Amino acid sequence: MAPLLELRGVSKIFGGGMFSRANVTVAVDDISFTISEDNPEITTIAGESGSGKSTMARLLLGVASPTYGTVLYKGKDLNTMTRRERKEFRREVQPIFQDPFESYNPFYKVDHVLHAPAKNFKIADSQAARTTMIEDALMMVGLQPDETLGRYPHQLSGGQRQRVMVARALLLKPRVILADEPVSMVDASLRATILESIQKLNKELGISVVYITHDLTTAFQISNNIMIMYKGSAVEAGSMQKVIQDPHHPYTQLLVDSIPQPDPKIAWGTQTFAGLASEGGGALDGCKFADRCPKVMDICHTQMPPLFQSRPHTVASCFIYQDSEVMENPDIASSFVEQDGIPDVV
Amino acid sequence: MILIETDQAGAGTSVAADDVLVVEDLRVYYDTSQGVLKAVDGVSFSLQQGKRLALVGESGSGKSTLATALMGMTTAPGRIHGGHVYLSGRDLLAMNRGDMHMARLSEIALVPQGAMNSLNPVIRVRKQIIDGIIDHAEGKKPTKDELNERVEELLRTVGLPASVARMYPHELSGGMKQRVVMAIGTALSPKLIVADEPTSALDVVVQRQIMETLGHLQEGLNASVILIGHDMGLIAQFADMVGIMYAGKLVEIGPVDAIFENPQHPYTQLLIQSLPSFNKKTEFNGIPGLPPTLLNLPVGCSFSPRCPFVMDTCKVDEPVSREVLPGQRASCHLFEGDQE
Repeated sequence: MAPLLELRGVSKIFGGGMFSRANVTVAVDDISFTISEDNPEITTIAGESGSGKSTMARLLLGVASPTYGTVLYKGKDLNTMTRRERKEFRREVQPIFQDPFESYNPFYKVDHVLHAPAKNFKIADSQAARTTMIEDALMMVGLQPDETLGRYPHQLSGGQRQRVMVARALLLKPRVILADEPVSMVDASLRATILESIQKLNKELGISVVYITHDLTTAFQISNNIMIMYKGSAVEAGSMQKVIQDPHHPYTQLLVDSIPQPDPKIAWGTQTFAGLASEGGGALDGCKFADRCPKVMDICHTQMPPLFQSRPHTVASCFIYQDSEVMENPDIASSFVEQDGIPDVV
Repeated sequence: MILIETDQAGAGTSVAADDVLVVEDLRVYYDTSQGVLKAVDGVSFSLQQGKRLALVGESGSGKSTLATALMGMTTAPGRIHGGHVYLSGRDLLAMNRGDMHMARLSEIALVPQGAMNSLNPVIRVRKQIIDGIIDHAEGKKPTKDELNERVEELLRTVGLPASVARMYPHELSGGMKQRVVMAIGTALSPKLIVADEPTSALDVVVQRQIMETLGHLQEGLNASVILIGHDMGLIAQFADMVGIMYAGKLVEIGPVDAIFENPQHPYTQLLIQSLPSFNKKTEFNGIPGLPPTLLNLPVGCSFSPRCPFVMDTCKVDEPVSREVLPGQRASCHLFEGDQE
């Protein structure tokens, strides 16, 4: 299984410097993660604000460089790529951002965000061919070209704007799409259509998608595998079905338990827990979740738990599972279930 | 719960004795350069003491405009075009400015959206809490000891240590700021708390804590709550009653169980179907089409262009709200001729 995009032992540390060790924030803490070339999937990275999930996206996009470790695309380190390789990477790994209002320049028509990258990456030989490709991309995400092109961003709804962004990513025929909270600012009734178009890109065009979110309900619907982050570390990862329906790590349990279910008959979770995520997440000994964990043990304060293979296709970084084997391969994606495209209907 | 009977003109009639809030045919319009925008258009409902009503709708459905109007804080270019808002029998919209000023906070309080930005960054928490208490004190001003005691008590009820009183807002986390805003809002034990998306910027774990705190506050005061939001999960867990807004109108209102299990209006049905859940993976069911622009509403029912059950009459006549099931009202031509 050849890796397409790969994080190898990556850490990203903000702040600090030679004389101020106190204010260090470890946004991403020694994570290895691959997106495979052969099996395009939708993978979720989830966590609360401050968990490091957006920093993960920035590292994968190559807009932030790691403090330690390497980011590789098709086996080549992003830092030592040639210009030509870098340009290929830029075309093949496309972002979709959270805010469909800030991704546009209000003075340009929406055509601009489609034509500019199309020209830059020379995806078509002629103006006419380019226009056809743009129209095809818009139709693919469920927009009518004649109702969309020629308009200014403020003339489109949030949902339409976000779909134009999906079309833009699609236009460049990418291998990987990184969607950072693509629906959190869009109305509930329009979320489904955007997620649907992202799912379609994955199924029909074989594009790998990394779906970064705090919303576990949409993640559950769209993807097969999940990685839960807490203060920069992966605390649990593996098959979406198992992680959500029977979470192993106490933090995942808390997170899943806190989600209000849209059914008045399912009572809101009753799990008790202490406090909130403390600021930062610096050089602590032991488990980062120990101060809030209802099942905390003595060992949690002194040692950092490794990822235990707590059951097939799930790893959890918690000493509750210390009798299980420690995950050998540091690559978190190696715990994932392989499925093609369509999630099973239960 | 007795809901107001409305006729075509929307004039309310029966009022139950224990209704804290009665809204009758409320209309809030905005005068814009492109014409009159009807953000809230003929909304009627009532709310009993100690009950929680959630108002749901997409952005632009008029839910926040409605909250602002209840608080008597509608400002130009918005204006109250008509209707009544009775709080314990007194019409808030007919009050003069001074009376409304006194009623605000002491009888009806707002927990605003984005509490992060509702606190003054250069004033300590204590001062921000006592401001309203001093302003509303009639006759003798409270002493410093009384105030300190009250601040401590309020902070305790929202689950904050007394030391927070001496802090500045930037020293608090988002969840703590939201709690301070709730302490300010409930400082004078209001009868009605209007909470406009109180947790929209918070993480799920903090969200649950905040909603539990709001629930405790409300039960402690035996106040009523209007929760404005679009998170159906939150609403299912918190509310007793749910009202669905679409394009400035209240298209359906009823008990929370009935709305989730047996929604009547086609928009509510699609909305409930579109909700993702952990129990099963399904294909995404989005609602086809786009929300209408309020300046250019379709003739007849505003939902008709997106409605799977659309009939000829929907494109001509505006539907009237009628009781479809006990305690559950919907505005849809499908229920015409069923009764009344």
